Amino acid sequence: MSEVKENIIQVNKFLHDYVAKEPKSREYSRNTTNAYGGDLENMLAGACNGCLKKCNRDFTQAIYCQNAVSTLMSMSIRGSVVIMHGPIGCGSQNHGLEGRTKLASIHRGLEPEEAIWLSSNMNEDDVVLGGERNLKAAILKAQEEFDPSCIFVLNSCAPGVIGDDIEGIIEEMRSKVKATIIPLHCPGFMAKVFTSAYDVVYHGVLQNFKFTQDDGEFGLDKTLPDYEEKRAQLTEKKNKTVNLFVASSISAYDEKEIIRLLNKLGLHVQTFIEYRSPEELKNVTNAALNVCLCHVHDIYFVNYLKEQFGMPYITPSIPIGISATNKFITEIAEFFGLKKEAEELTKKETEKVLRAVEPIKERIEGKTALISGGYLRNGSTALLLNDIGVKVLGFRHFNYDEFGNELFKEVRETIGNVTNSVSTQASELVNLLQKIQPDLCLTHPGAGVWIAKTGTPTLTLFSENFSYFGYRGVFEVARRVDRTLKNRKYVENLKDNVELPFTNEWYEKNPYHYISDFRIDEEEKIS
Amino acid sequence: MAPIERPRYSCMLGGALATISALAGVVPVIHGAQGCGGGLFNAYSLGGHLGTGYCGGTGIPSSNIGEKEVIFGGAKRLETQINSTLEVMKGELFIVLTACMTDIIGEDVESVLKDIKNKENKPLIYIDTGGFKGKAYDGYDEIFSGLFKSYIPKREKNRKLVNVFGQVPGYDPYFRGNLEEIKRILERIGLEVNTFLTHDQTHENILSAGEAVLNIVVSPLYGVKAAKTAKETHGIDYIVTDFPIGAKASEKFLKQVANELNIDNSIVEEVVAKEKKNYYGYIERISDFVADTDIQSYGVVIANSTDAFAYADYLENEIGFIPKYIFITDQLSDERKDYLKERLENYKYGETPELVFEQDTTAIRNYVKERHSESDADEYQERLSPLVVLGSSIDYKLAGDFGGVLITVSYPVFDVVLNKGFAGFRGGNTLFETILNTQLKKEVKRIV
Repeated sequence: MSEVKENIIQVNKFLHDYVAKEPKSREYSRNTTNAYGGDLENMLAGACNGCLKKCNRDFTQAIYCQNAVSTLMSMSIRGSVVIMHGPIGCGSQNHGLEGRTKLASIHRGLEPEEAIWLSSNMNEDDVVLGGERNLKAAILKAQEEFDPSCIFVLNSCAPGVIGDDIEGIIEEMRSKVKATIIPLHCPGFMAKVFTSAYDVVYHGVLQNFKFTQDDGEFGLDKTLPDYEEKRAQLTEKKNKTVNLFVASSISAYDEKEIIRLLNKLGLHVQTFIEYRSPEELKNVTNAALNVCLCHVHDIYFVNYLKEQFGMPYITPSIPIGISATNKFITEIAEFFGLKKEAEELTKKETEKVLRAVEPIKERIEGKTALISGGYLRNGSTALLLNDIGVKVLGFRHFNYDEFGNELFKEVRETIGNVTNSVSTQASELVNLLQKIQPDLCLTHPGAGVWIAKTGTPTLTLFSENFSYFGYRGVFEVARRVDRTLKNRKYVENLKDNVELPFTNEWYEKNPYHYISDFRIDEEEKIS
Repeated sequence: MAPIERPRYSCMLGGALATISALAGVVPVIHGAQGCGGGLFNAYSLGGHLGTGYCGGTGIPSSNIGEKEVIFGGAKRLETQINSTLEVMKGELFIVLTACMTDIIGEDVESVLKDIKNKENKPLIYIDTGGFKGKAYDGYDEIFSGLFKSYIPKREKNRKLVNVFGQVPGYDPYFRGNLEEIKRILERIGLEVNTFLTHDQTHENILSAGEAVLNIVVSPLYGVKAAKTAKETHGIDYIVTDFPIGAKASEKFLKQVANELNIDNSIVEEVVAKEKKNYYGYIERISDFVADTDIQSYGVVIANSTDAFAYADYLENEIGFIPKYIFITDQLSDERKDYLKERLENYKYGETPELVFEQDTTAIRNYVKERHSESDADEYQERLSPLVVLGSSIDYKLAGDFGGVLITVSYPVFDVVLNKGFAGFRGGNTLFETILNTQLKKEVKRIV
């Protein structure tokens, strides 16, 4: 390993207290906003000044909460059982994780597991008396019936409001069950920015799991005759090992593409924390470098690993599109003193994929798109679309904070100062689409139906079934865009035959009319 | 209450939202946290990918209260939300629904509604649906009870009009196909039918509900509260019927309704004869296949209390299978369990299947496995095979344990469900077709 070079995003605010009972929501810890309407330039200026922290609207629509998002990571830990502590409705969407987790496991060559979860089932009496009895019974049931590797306890609104002491209850239960119990403080009402869930889960994970083998090294048997030899081998391997932090939104194809590229540089790769068991997490410290595939998802944890174990980390942008992929590979390579090798690799791969997409690009050049979803993925996807000749007309981010500024400065340079909102509101989305009328939307699941009803074709922004990352992703996304644009009949038929639930007056208003803490000029036209 | 493994229903608010999502022109306004609507939408969508519809999913207006409102009260936020909803959303009726938190902090929704400047005088009502107060099926009943109490006008009776209750959107995954068929056969005996929840219905069907002369509840438990309310508010009589699947059950159903409404028996007989001719026409032509392949199987039914007996009855009395177990998966009081036990006695069985009130998926699987263990020691042994499981998508392991097939009839159903239904004559044919096709695609793992 040559000189250590870490590329870490510099931000003004990133509160993290790893010994606190629970993390603060991202509205507080990172000034993350979930309401903004304007253009890229203004959002960047606002985020730099730290003024994007107003989260209110006078008209709001339902969306996910941090409790629901917390199930994604916790359910993906191998052998886990998830307890939804609250009334029966909280978590009733979890059945959807069964197929998703199973598919993700199969794609990664793992034995598919059932997604097991329990509801502590608080009823009216329990809301009055407290949910202690329910939670204790649920923990015992989880242990007895499933013998899990760990039990995640997800707090919901009702126990949050009545003040159930879940920490106290869990402390009492620890001696009675074999599995590690992890309290996750994620009542929905405590965070409007639902990506706070990632910090909540990592907070629970880092306080309750072990990240080193018992000997602090590789867990080798010291009495073995070839102990020293094996230790030397593993140390050498460790010095060339990268931990990639994945996410449930990242497909196996995408992981494989990045692993393929890093292997070509002679690096070893371990992936965390999704689809790993608590036992496997002990190997997280047996690597030279931590890299987030999406730092919105993982920075809370890699920063902990740095503070606690001195593990360096870097935060390149998500490797979608040629430039972001090149940078992603190069930054990792530089850390290991492999800059020259990376230059050769990225040059060769870039040329190869550019040749491959050229005929597709000719067909789709000049088509327009709106991108809607998580901001980091949005920004990188815009750069990819730019690579293949598609013009990005605007963004709609779930939330935004200054962690995105570095990427979006590049985006602004590359594609210009476009319409940009921070919104989860279907009403704002449909209103905006009426005004900018893109040929295509790339969108996070959940919003697609609203886009389709306006007659605009959609492509999902991420999926376990498709490829997005690296050079492979550029080619595959280009193919999908081309195919989607070839036949729009489905959405056209849909538009012609279904009614949207918004009043005519609403379409005459600015899409951001109801953002109450940040009124933009009503006369301002959305271009 | 005791914890539950993977409950096969959501909460009161979840059932209310699922129901409203299928009611023409009705816009819900949740007074609760942002995740209630988002999560509960994803939950009811698991009934065959039910989806957003007119105004579900991320379109549901919701006050999205946070820490501030929980501490200081959310009345102001709700008022603003309702006013803005009336500006943005197009609807013929707006229903404010409360969630757990707003019920816990004791929000006075009624007084907020009084202060709303509703310039166009759009219909706006409030129904208390705090999640912890009941289950999804109760939420369905609350919505229809609330509509009868606060919205549906009292009009002159239409001697031919009936309302059908007892199918809960999402939580009865085939509710649309079922209701369409029930409507079709009732129309054949000369009735006009409000189903409220199918795509042929308009808001006028809701408004006309008070004109009905009979409420038909096709579930022993769900819809009964709504029917009782309608009896009080609009003087509409009601009957509680079995959920009809197949020719025999449908004939019984039609005769029960006709009897209640004094419809001439000859009309019913003629309709039933025509329907049966068609129904058995299909059965006749598939009987080559059936007779040559020995499709008869043991059966396990895992479903809610609306459907469970109907599926078991179909297996036994319609297609001559051997149903062994009926698992009922709702949360039920002892009183309701006793009531269902009594109802089971009304069905005719060669050997009555065992009725088990159990909702935990793993416990259901273990219950059957414990009673039909297959040891390696004895090569000649009685087995629960061939087996057909009529259950939910999460019951695949049970079916797999016995080399059987799984037909997904109950929530959650991960397959796509459009207009498929299992009710009535057509549904009976469809169910047989589904069972046979699933058996055909089965990978044979053990040759006997």
